[in-house]
Amino acid sequence: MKSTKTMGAKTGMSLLVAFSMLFAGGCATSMKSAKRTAVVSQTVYNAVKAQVVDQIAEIIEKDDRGLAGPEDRRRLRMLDGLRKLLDKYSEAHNAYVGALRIWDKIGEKPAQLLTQEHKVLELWFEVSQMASQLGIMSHANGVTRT
Amino acid sequence: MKEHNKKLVESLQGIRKDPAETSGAVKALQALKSAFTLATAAGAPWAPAGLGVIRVLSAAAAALKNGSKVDEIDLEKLMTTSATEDLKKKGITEDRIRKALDGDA
Repeated sequence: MKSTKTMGAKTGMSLLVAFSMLFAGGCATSMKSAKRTAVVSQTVYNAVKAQVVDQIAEIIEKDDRGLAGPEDRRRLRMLDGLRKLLDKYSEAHNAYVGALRIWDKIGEKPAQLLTQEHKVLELWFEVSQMASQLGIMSHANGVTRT
Repeated sequence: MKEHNKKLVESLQGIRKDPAETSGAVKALQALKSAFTLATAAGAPWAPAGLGVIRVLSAAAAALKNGSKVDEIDLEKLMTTSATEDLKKKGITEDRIRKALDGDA
């Protein structure tokens, strides 16, 4: 029998995967849906990034005062990993928006658009998993992080 | 199937069925949000992560509502800045993070 923790993690993961369908649902069939996908992508990215930046800054400040312990460093290591991943996500998102600009300019869907969209989606899977492990999203709602 | 899972699946199906309509997407996001809220109240094991998703979904739904005139969205405004850039603005460099990780700051 699977432990509750394992099952919970699996369910959580599948939900985050399901959430990623939001991007897939916006598959660039028209400029309007492509723009909407970009809006959702930008919004969720900014929401997660803000928390990562704030939490890293919080730990660094604690470290400056000599108060950071092993648990803080462990968390900082994970946050730093997510920071690097978010940077890749930002790059992929901007490339996607760049492809939209080309589409908007020449009036024809550029070949790289689908590739960029898939890249954003793939990275979102990874961001979701790491953010979930960090309890990043729940922390912002005042829920004690684990 | 538990009620919250059922709602979730319905919501996601709604989004996929109606990808071109902003109003449809907003409704689906709101339904998805209520599914997460329900799951949280029901004590689902993934509830803490779900709570966070609610926040992100709320932000996404708000963005879509505000962007109801999708055609008028300036693509330039959809660009993002990296987390590293944001940290630099706060005076935190990669080197500073590395020092903290090493514990020798």
